[in-house]
Amino acid sequence: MRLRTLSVVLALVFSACGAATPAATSAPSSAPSAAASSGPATAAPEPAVTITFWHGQSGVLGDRLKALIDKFNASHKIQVQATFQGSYTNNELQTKLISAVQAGSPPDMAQLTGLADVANFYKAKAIAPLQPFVDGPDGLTKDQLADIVPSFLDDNSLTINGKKTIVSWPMSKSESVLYYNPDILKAAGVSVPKTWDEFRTALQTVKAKTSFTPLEWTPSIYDFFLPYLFSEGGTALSSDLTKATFNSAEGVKALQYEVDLVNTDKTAVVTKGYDWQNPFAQGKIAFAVSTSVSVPYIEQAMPKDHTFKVGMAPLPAGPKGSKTNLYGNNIVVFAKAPPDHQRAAWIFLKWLTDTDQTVAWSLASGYMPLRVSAKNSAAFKDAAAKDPRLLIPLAGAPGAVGNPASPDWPKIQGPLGDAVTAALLGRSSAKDALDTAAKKADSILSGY
Amino acid sequence: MRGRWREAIEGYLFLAPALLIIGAFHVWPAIYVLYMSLFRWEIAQGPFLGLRNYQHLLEDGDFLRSVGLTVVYVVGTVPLEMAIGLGVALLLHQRLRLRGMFRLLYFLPYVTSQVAVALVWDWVFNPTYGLANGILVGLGAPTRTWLLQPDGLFGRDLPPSLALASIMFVTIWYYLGFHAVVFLSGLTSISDEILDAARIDGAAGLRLFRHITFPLLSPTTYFLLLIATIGAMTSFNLIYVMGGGSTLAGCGGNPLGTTEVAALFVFDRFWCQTELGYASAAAFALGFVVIVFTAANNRIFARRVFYG
Repeated sequence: MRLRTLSVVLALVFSACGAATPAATSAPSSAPSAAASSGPATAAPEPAVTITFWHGQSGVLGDRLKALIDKFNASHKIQVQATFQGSYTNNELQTKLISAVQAGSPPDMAQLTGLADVANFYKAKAIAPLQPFVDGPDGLTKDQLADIVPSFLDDNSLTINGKKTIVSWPMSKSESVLYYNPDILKAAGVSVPKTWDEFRTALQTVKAKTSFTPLEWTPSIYDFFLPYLFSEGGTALSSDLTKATFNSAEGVKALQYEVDLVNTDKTAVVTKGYDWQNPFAQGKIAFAVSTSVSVPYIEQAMPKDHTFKVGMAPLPAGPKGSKTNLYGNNIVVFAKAPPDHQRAAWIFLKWLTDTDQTVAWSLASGYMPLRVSAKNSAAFKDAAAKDPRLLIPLAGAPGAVGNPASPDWPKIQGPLGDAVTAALLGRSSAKDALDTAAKKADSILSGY
Repeated sequence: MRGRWREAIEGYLFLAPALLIIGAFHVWPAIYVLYMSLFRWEIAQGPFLGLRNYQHLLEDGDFLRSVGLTVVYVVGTVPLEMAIGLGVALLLHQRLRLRGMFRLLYFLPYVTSQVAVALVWDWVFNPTYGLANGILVGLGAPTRTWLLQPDGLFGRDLPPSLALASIMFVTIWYYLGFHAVVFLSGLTSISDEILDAARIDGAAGLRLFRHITFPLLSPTTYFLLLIATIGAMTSFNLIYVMGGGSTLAGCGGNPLGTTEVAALFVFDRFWCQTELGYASAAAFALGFVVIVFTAANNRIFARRVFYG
């Protein structure tokens, strides 16, 4: 896990390096105050308070975020005091937040990973839902709200008293994508696969026609199993979140697909963590599956005398189209924060979501912009003209699915991951492995 | 009378800093963990459960497995690292050339960060590009998947898995130098007069070691046995990093939980599954097991220690 921290930290550092130029130029010099520019006229004057913000963006990315926050502070009475509290991808930040909640002194707002973690903090009454602010005098108009990528809003909404409620707010979002080496695909005479069936055939062709490894990947449930399941129309949990549904026929099909690649076709090699990354960068592998912010990682691992343009494509599609897993982080506002701090936090979040800022952050970090219309902004268009790969995650965003809204999901992902491992090792059939995991999940969901 | 009081107060004053630190960072947290273990406690404190968390531990296959794996880990590492450490110490005790350099080399792993060590070994065990498989290929032997392999060395479902065994190997390598250096200091403290006397009486080689050196080393051996056992029972870093696993989810213990020793179980349930109360119960139970083991060590070995 520390290994992952380290590689993630490194990657964030390098990813930020890779995207260095656009960030500095994309911030417009006239920064209109969000409260003044977009809030309804009835909004009360902005509170002159200092609010604390714990985040998990380190290294150059942390500096980029700081620059953005400095810009906010310079134009607002609200002052945001942001501190890096450990990476968000490996529980470090969450660990600190849990401790802070125990000590009764959480920050005013913080980054959390997916919806399951948000649900867990909500269940503990530690965070304040944001719906009242979204609807309130400082809120967003209907059009503005409709401009936020809907799957991102879904990843921040819980059903409370039978009503879909925005609890947290998206910030840095990424998703699983397919990576490929165009040189190898060319050598094998393979085009970028659009469906899972095409993908399987493409891997077989690469194996038959070249000496390269067709696919090397870490069988995380998020990069392969769940997107495939969703593309077949399956779900991870029942809609009332009381039962596991990943062992449906669609789930068995999704897992069997992986088993076939590894054991029948022998076109896929299983790795651990980010171990696939270096060999992929060295041009030994045709395909890989990982999060959309991996490009700079891969590029910096390339040997100087043998580089290639990393290809990126949406994950292959099933009968329900191409689906993917939503990664990244969301922001929560803590229940312990005084009301004016909560309001100040929301005003900051709204500002961060304005087109200028969300584009600036996206180009600085490699995460996706939060607004549908962001791709029409001049800054984003310029950047995408130079690197069309920026558009690929955006195209996949409508089909991106976040964690199930259950606070128990973090306990279920382990057994589900074990099911994938057990099936890939041939210890049990895909169906048996998933049934075992589902039984465990059901007992977790019913509480002990 | 007055003088004695003064002396006592002075004594306590000298003890105070240590007591404060131990109290604040060891005793108080332990008491608080005991308190937390009596509640359903997720991110927020829930209802009082009494001993139900402990009851649940006894029915939790994952917890029982983690205790079993801990025992396997302790039994598989401590005796070996002590025996090899003693062997190395005996060698280094000879008048060797470059003795200082060898001492340094053996001790080097121990002063290296465990995370860095684990990262390097992680690479060594990489199934496709690692050194371990490179050697196997060189020898014409079939390659293995090392840290990704949940199958046991002595049968598919018998611990240790190849993954855990690989980690145990690294553990032994890591602690070897520490044992060697402590044994070496023990060897240096055995007076030459006793050894000379034994030699005059005709003892040499193995007999000299068995009847003179080893008994006189017993305080060192006992000390090492105690701290190595406690250390191995609560071992975390190496196992956490190297068992980081084939899935990106969860908190390690991969593959298939075969490297989830008790300390990892506690960590996973506390921070990753946010079962703070349940994990506290597991931590307290683990502490209890450590005490029982230490007491057993005391019972069995302490009376054999010869303090000269």
